[in-house]
Amino acid sequence: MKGLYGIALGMGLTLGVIGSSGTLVKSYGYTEMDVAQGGTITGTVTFEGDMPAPKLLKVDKDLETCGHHEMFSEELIISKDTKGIKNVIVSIEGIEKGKKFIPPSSNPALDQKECTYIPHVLAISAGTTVDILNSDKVLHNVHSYAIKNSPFNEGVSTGGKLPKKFEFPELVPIKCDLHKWMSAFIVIKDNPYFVMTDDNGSFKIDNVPAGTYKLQAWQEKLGKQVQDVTIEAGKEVKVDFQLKPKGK
Amino acid sequence: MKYFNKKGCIGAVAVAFTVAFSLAITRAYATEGAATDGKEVYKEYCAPCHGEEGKGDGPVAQSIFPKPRDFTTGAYKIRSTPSGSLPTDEDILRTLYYGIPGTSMIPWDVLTQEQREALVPVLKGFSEAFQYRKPEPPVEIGLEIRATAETIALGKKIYEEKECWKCHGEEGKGDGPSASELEDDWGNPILPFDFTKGTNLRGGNSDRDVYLRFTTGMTGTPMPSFAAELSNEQRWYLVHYVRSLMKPALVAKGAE
Repeated sequence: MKGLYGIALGMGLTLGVIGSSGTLVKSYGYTEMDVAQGGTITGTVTFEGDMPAPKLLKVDKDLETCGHHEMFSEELIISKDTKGIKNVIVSIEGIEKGKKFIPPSSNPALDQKECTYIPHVLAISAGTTVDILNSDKVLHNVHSYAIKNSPFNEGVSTGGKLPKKFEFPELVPIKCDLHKWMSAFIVIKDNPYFVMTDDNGSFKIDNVPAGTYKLQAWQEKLGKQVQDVTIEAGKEVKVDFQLKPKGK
Repeated sequence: MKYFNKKGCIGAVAVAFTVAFSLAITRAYATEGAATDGKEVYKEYCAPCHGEEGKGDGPVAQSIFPKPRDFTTGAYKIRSTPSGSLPTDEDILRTLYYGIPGTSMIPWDVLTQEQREALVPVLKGFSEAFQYRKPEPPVEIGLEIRATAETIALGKKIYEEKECWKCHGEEGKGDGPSASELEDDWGNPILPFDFTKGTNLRGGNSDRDVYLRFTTGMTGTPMPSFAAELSNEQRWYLVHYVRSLMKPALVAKGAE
């Protein structure tokens, strides 16, 4: 678990959330507006380097529930064909105004099934409530590692539903102490310009007002990369990222 | 036991005792010319373990088990507030006053109340969490139920169903299947409590304390909250069962 706080802190955005009186003031410095003639960013995130072998997880508890098949880590999923990386979060950082948040019609879920989190990475807007579920026949403890948001750790038994609201932009790792191979990330963003890459590492962000922005790609094992991107009204711009293993 | 053998454990405990002893000597002088500036008090009495910047990395931290708390994340183990919430000022003061039994955190009853109160803003100042959130109201402790053979049996059923045994063991010896690989939030090994050994319950020995620990969870450790899982009655049943695991003599000694 070492280093998780480091990541969480490192990802922390500088936001005006503290009023002068010290009371909580939620202003993320983002203003919603109607975007006319918005631009679009498309691209792919690919892996640079030798393809790493899939990492087999050590599943040694509750085998009746968790041990149906070999389980591989989802920490880095690379397409064999395109070298595209799945589950990378691509986001515009520090954008001050733009399209409206469209709240999901129902709370996004983080399920626990056969002792795996589904999905492995969940990206949400600040203020979203996530329903944490347990579809397994065993109890899981849902242990979150947060500073700005609440660092809860709660037992959830079979069929349980634990709604949790995430108020602040932060990167929150989720773990289960009973099944140590289980790992997920909830990424909370302060503006609606974020997407997750698909199986081929492709992404598309639309309705962006013309301007120059910082575009960030973040992956849990490979870290983040930031590029400047200039959007022209009504046009599409292509931005690709190549992420490589850290320390190389 | 993946992380420590028995010898290592005894060694760590011995070191912890030595530290506690030397701190006890220090504290004999504590009230003389008592400084009431929180930062000064912290530097003198807390920083040796918790570090100058509250990162839990003071000069003696290395030889202590369990490790001194890193205050920078705002994760406080002993609270009256729900899982994930920050502690109230009273929670922090309580730990300062009573210490945490079974660890190197001694009761700082030798400091004046003024000094302890002066420490609270210093401790909170180490974590940005207090700038983002306020502590939630303390959890409600519902009407207490009298312990009977029946409530103990009901508590045993809950202990099995909610899988307390996975860490604390089938007989409460702290030797469940997950026990040996547990870590705190900082990656340090941590042991589940052995109820049969008795009364050094970290957050206090009263029934209400036990009730609070599995209601609030122990933030920063693998011990989760069962607030959403158990009704008030069920929590008291579990208190009664956990009590029944302790040796009668120890229970009597540890009772309020």
